[in-house]
Amino acid sequence: MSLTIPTVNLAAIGPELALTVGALILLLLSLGRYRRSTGLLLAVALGSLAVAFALVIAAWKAPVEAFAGSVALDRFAVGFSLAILSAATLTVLLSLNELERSYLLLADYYGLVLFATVGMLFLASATSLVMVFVGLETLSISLYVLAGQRRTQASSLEAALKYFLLGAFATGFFLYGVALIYGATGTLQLREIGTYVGTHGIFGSPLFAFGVLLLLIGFGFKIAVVPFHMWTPDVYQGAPTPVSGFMAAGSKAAAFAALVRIVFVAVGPTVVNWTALLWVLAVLTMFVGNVLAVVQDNVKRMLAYSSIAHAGYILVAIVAANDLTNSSVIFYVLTYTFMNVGAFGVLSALASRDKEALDVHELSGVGYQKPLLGLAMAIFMFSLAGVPPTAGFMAKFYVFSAAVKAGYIWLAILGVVAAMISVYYYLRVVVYLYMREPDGETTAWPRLVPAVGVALGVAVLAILGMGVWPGSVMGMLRQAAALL
Amino acid sequence: MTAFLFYVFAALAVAGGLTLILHRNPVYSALSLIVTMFSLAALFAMLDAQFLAIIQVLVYAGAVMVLFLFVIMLINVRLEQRLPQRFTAQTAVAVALGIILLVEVIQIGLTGSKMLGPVATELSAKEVGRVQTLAGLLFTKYVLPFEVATILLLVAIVGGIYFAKRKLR
Repeated sequence: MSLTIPTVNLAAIGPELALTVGALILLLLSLGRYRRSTGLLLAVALGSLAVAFALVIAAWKAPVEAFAGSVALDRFAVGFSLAILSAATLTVLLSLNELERSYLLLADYYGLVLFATVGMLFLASATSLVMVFVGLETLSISLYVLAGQRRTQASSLEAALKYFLLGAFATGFFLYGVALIYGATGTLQLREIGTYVGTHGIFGSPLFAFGVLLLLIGFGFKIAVVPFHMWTPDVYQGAPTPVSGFMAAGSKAAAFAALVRIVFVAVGPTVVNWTALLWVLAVLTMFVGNVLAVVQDNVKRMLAYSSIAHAGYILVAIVAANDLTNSSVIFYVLTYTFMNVGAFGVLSALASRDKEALDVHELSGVGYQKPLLGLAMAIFMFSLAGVPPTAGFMAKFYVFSAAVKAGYIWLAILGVVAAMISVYYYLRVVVYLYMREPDGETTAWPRLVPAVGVALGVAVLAILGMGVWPGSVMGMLRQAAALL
Repeated sequence: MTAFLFYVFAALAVAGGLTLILHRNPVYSALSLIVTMFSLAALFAMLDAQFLAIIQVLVYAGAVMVLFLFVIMLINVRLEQRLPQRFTAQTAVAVALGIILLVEVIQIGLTGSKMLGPVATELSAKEVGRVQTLAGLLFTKYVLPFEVATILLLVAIVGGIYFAKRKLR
C-alpha cells in the first residue's frame, strides 16, 4: 500500500499552534507553585494571543492551504480570526474582575479560554466538514466547562449542564447531517461537495438535501437562531459575565465563518433553492430576539436575547448571498465582538465581591458615580442599537445594503423595523445610567482593575474608530471576500 | 457457513434487543444490550469491517455499557415501575416517527446503494474496512482532524477533572 503524505504546512495552523502551546503551559503552571501568580498567567495568555495575532496578520499577505484540503488560512479566515482573537484577548483581560468573586482557578480558566479559541480559529479556516466538526466540538466542550466556572453557584452549574445537554444534542444533528452528506457525495471536502452540487443540484438526492437541513439545525443551535434559541438566556445569565460575552461574540464569529463558507463553497451554486428557508429564519430570529429582550429587567438576560437578534441581522447578509455578503458579515462580527464583550465587561466591572448589579434598576445613577464605566456602557448600548457614529450603525447599514442590493428589499425593511424595537431596551439602560436617581443607600462600587480599564478603552476606541472611518476597514474586508 | 453464522448472530442481536425492552429488571436489560452489541460486532467482522467490529466491542459493548451499568447501580434502580398507560400526544409522535423509520429502512433495503454517491476510492470492498486502510487515511488525508481531536479529548479530560475536583483551592 502506498501512502501519499499530504502537504504539511505549519503556517496554515500557526495561530492555533501558538495558542495550544500557551494553553498547555498554563495547564502545567496550574500544577505548580505559580498557579496563583496572576501576572505570570496573564503574561502567558496574552503572549500566546499576541503571537497568534501576528501569525494571522502575516497570513493576510500569503494565504495558505494545507493538510490535504483540511484547512485554508485565506483572507476570509483572517478576517474572522481577527474578530475571534480580539474577543479572546478582551475576555482574558476582563476576567481579572471575576477572580475574587467566582473563585476562578485562573490557570485552568485561561487554558480553557485559549483552547476554545483554538476551536474557533479552526472553524474559521476549516475547508472540510470533518474539520468543521472537530473545531466546533473543541470550542463547545471548552465553553461548557467555562460556563460552569462558578462552581459555588447553582445558576452557573445549571448553565453548564443545560448548555452541555442541548449542545450535545445539536452535535448529534450536525454529525448526522455530515454523515448523510458524505453518503450522498462520497467526500467531506467543501469544494468537492460544491462540484457534486454543481452537477446534481441540491435536491439531486434526498440524502443530500436532508443532510444539509440537519447541518443547518446543528448550526442553528450553536449560533442561537430562533427556534433553536431556548438555551441562550439561561446559559448567558448563569455563566460568569466575561464568559457570556466570549460565548456570544467568539462562538458566533466562528460558527458564522463556517456557515458562510459552507453556504458559498459547498451549496453555493444552487443557493437560491434554500434562501427561502434562511429568509424565514432571519426574520423570526430578529423579531423574537428583540421582542423578548424588551421585557427583560435583568441586563445579562437582555443581552442574551439581543445576541439572538444580532444573529438574525447577520443571517440577512447570508440570505443576500452576493459579493457584499462576506465583507459585511466580517464587519458585523468584528463590531459585535467589541460592543458585546465590552457590555458584558462593564457589567462584570460593576460587580462587587458578593453582589452583581444585573438588574437594570441597580444601574440607576451609575453614569455619575462611575463616569468612565457609565460612558463606556452608554457607547456600547448606542452601538448595539445601531446609532451613528458608532460602528454598530455601519455594521447594520452594510448588512441591510447587501440585502437591498440582492433585491431583498422587504427583508431589509423588516430588519430595520426589528432594529427600531431594539432601540427601546438598549436606550432604557442609558436612561437608567444617567436619568434615574439611585434608590436607597448608595452602593459602594468596586475599584476598577487597570487591565479591565485598558480592555474597555480599546473596545470603545475600536467601536468609534470603525464607526467614524468605516471605509478604510471595509476596503480591507472587501479583499477578504476572496475565498481560497 | 457464512450464511449460517449470519443468521445465528442476527437472531442473537434481535433476541438481545427484545429482552432489552421486555425485561423488567434494568440490569438484565443493560446486559442483554451487550449481547446485541457483540452480535453486531460479529456481523461487522463478517462484512470485512474489522475496525468497526473492534470499535463496536471496545466502545459500545465495553465503555458505554460499563457506564450504563454504573449509573443503574449507582442510582439503585429497582424493578421498572409501570406507569399508567395513556395515549398521549407523545405516543402518537413516537409511533409516527417509528413508522417513518421503518419505511425508510425498508426503502433503503429495497433500493440498495442507489441513493449513495460514488465513494472516491479504487479499493475493493474487502480492503475498505481493513485497519491498515483506515490508519493510512488517518495519517495522510485526515491527519489534521485526527491530531486536533487530541486537543478535544484533552479539553474534555480537563473539564471532567475540574468538575469532579472536591476542593476549590
